[in-house]
Amino acid sequence: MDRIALIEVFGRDGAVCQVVPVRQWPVRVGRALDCDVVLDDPHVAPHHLSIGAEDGRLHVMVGDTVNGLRCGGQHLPAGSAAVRPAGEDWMVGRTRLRVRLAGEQLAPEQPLPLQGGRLVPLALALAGLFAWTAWSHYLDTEPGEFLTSFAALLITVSALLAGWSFAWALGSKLFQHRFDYWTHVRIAATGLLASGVLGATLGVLAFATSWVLLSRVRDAAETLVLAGAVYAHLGAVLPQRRRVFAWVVGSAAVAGLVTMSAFQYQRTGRLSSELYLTTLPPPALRLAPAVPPQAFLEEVAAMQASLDAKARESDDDAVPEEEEEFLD
Amino acid sequence: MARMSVDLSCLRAPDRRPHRWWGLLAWLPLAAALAQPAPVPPAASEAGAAPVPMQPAPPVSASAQRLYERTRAQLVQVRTLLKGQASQSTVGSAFLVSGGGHLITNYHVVSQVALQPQRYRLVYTTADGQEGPLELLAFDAIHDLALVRAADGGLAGRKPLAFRPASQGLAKGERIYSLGNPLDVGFAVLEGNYNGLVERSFYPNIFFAGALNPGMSGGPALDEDGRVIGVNVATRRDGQQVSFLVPAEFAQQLLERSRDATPLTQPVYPQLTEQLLRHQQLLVERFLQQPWRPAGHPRYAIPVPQESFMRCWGTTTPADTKGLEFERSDCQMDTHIFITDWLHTGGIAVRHEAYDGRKLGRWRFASMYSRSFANESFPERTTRHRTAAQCRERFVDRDGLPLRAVVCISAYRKLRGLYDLSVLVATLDHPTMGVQGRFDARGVDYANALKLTEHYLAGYAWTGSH
Repeated sequence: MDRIALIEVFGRDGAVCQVVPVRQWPVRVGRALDCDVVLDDPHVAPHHLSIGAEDGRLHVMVGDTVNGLRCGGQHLPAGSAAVRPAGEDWMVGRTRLRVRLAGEQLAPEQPLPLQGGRLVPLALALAGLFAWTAWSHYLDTEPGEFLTSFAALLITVSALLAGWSFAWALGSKLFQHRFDYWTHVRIAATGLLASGVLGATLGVLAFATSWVLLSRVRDAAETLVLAGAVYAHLGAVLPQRRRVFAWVVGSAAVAGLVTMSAFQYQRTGRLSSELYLTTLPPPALRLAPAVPPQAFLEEVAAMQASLDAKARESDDDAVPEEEEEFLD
Repeated sequence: MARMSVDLSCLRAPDRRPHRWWGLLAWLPLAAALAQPAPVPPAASEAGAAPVPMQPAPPVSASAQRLYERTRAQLVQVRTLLKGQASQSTVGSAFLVSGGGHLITNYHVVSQVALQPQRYRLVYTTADGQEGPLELLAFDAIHDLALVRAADGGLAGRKPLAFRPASQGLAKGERIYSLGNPLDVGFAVLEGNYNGLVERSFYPNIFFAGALNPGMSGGPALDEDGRVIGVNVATRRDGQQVSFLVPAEFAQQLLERSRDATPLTQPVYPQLTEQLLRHQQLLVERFLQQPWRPAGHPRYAIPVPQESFMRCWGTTTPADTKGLEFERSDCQMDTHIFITDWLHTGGIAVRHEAYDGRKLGRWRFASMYSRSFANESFPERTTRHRTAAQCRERFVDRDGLPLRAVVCISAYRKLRGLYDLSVLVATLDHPTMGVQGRFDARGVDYANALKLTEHYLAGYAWTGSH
């Protein structure tokens, strides 16, 4: 007899673990041995449901069950019947299954990612990260010290990157059954590179324009880029949960930033940790004009009102002097 | 005045200056010492007997002995006690200056009572064991002096110590004697030499070559005739027998001014503010009158203060350095005014580093220049005495020389109208050379803070030869 439908039973990790071809209707699903599809799930009744089909639609009869059946967003209690489209995900107890009918519309075939196409972003990300690390290290060292200390730094960065990616790749292996190591290396390298470059760029732009807010938001911007990288890692591990991860990672990052800013505000009365702009790139990058001293002094004079207001505030939140460092 | 000046922090280079620390002479005893019973009369017997059995007494000790015998009745220990308990919080010394029980001591000995009269009280203990309460009549925080009086009349009728007239100067090397109760061990007399006035001090201060110890603050320093020439105030912890006395004339003035004052029973912040405002006005006026000294840099005019009441130290990188070369100058006043243990104010500091990064290249230089600019500290948190610093920053044009200027100010909360000012400057005209400077003034009013900022910025320019 011809195969008229296929019932796919999914495991907890989202992969199909049981495929039952259907050659005649109705099909009974449950834990009992006389069912056509026998499920090993304690939350499934012996005769949980039976399925028929007519005109490309499925007829469901829910049997004598405590938990009922969840189709799409709808809950069907024991004894109810419904007509459902094919290809939906159904929850029977804790087991997800799907009924595919012969003659269904199939999604077009997806091309395999080109080997070269995946390699180029990876190579670019790695090369970029190492170049950036080398450049930062070069800036921090005195002449003659760079080469001797760079090897150690390179090994450290590589080891950390490898360890981090390996941990995520284990996650991929667990949920995707694929040890996606190089994908995670690419994500991690891109995230690190992007946060470093963004931070430095914001600092230089803040200097060029004398718009110090750009530098104040540097920590937040770097944090958000790194949160984006974590989201990408999670998405690679469990692609079907991307929406949930976007919310979770996004709100965790925002909550973290808000908490840090609140602490900072409580400590210092400022939202950012930076008291003044400390980035001084080569003077040629300065675009903002230099003002006469008198104009600057007027700005300083205008600060008195807010200082005096602060001085008059209640000192309940002031720290004891013992905790304050002496300055000179 | 005086008392604590820790080096301006800079992590950029090893600091080869001698470290200079002032030690206050009021003593905060350790927990173990708190358990000691109130000073017993030992001083008389011990001091009287000590020189005799030890060794044949040299002539100087004989005069020390004679002086002590003559003045022990005018000498008291001043103890600050927490109200409601007998434990002492700090101890110092004082001496009688009138038949009515007036005593002179240091402001820093009585500062806790002056600022928190609701929490602390003052008591005196004489060398023969008599005890009684003290009341605070007046103080001169600028010279670190206070006038107190026995509130129970217990010291009335004792003969006061006389002041040596200011017209009779002392010669360097003359023997003088300092009295007090060091470390709450017992009344003591210590010999030393008069060495003139401390150089480059904003207010006159006597340099006493003798060993002063905590607990002797407020005790008298006497000449051979037992006349008061000064008041023990501070010592240098990094030196040996380098101690300081407040000249007696200021104590005498305080006595004359406030002999009949009503006792101070409220926190003295208003009076302190008034004294500090006068001090800063004088200081800023004198400072602004002085032109900057040339720094000797080929490219930049850099503000370096005159050394009339400041002391400057310089360092430079070794000639064979492969990286950033710099010269550093660090000038500050020794004079600081003690307000509490947590607030010393009233000083000025000026420093700069001139960098030459031609061996580094522009990017490396920029990176190190930035790190150096970031390596500065400001009051980040609001305390009970001072708000957190607020800053304004801008590119400022000094006759064509572009500067990055940052002004950070924090306001005093209990000394209204006084502020701590810091100005940071970095020159921005050369890819591999530059100067960074910092100017600090503590406890100035806002108008003076602006004047000092203007004065400091005006010190930067290109040199004529550039």
